[in-house]
Amino acid sequence: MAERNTVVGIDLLVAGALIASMGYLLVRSTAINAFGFSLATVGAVVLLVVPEDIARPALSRLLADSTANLEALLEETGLRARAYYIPSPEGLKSFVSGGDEGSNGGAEITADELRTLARPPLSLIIESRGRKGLLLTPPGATLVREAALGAGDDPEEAVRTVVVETSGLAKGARLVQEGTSIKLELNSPVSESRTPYYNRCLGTLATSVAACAIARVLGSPIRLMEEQLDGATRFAVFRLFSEEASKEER
Amino acid sequence: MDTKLRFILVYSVIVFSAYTAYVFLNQTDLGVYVSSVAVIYFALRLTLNPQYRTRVDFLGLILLALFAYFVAERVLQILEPT
Repeated sequence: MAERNTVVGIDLLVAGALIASMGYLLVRSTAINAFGFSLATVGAVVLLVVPEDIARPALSRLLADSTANLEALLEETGLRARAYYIPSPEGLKSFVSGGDEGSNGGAEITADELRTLARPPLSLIIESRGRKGLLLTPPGATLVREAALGAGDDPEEAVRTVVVETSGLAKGARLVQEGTSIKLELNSPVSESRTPYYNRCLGTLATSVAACAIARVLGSPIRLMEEQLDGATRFAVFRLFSEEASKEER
Repeated sequence: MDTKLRFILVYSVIVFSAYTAYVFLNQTDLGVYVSSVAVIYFALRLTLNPQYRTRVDFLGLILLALFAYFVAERVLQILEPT
């Protein structure tokens, strides 16, 4: 069944087009013609704007619930390292390596290696540099895909769209990229869920959804490096894993 | 209020207010109506920036083409030797 916005948008568009054409062909009235044109543009706007599929508070609660299973998995496996967010044709993935926090088995992992990890055959437990890790689908992966975000979009705009407008996980977002360092600022994020393992590895919910959006639009893997709450603002720093950014930094 | 809903409401109110004002002023040039709609649309799109279903803004392209057509027509009218 077609959703409400589509039906209303098409109705207004068709009615506007009919009024405009009748105003031009039958009555030769500019005012009627212009009225039809205005009505048609309002219909087009209603048709183009993304409809609200689900109430934002409900969506943020569903997202919070979806972290519960990952929390249990991370607690069970004992993984503590910060996650990598890897964009791939199969969807966005998060890789939590078995190494210590701040390293991946002691050696720096490259963008190509990360991309290889997210290629089929995909499995939950994968091995990187002799250490087992988890390849997860973070809660924001589908949200980012459905938001029609793509490589080349503005990262700050993408974060604002997904975290602020679509899911209502924060009231505002700012993002600054300096070489391979990406600094994120989220204003008044929703109260954090009690998921310490998830928060430690993938970041808090708002940050991890933002990370999905950033990785998707930049088209390169990123890693959460640090995250802290200062008053009502959450600060997070990501590292970009791309050959171009690394060259620029050098 | 949600940005998308605010965009639709504000756009509708401004467009129809402008339309009513032009009707009371006995405006008979369709180009003025269309150009106003285009300017209102682009100004609101820039300020409220709602999320669209499509990556390409088809309405924006159509309005831009119409705006360019009416502006070109007016410029040619001015340049035309009397």
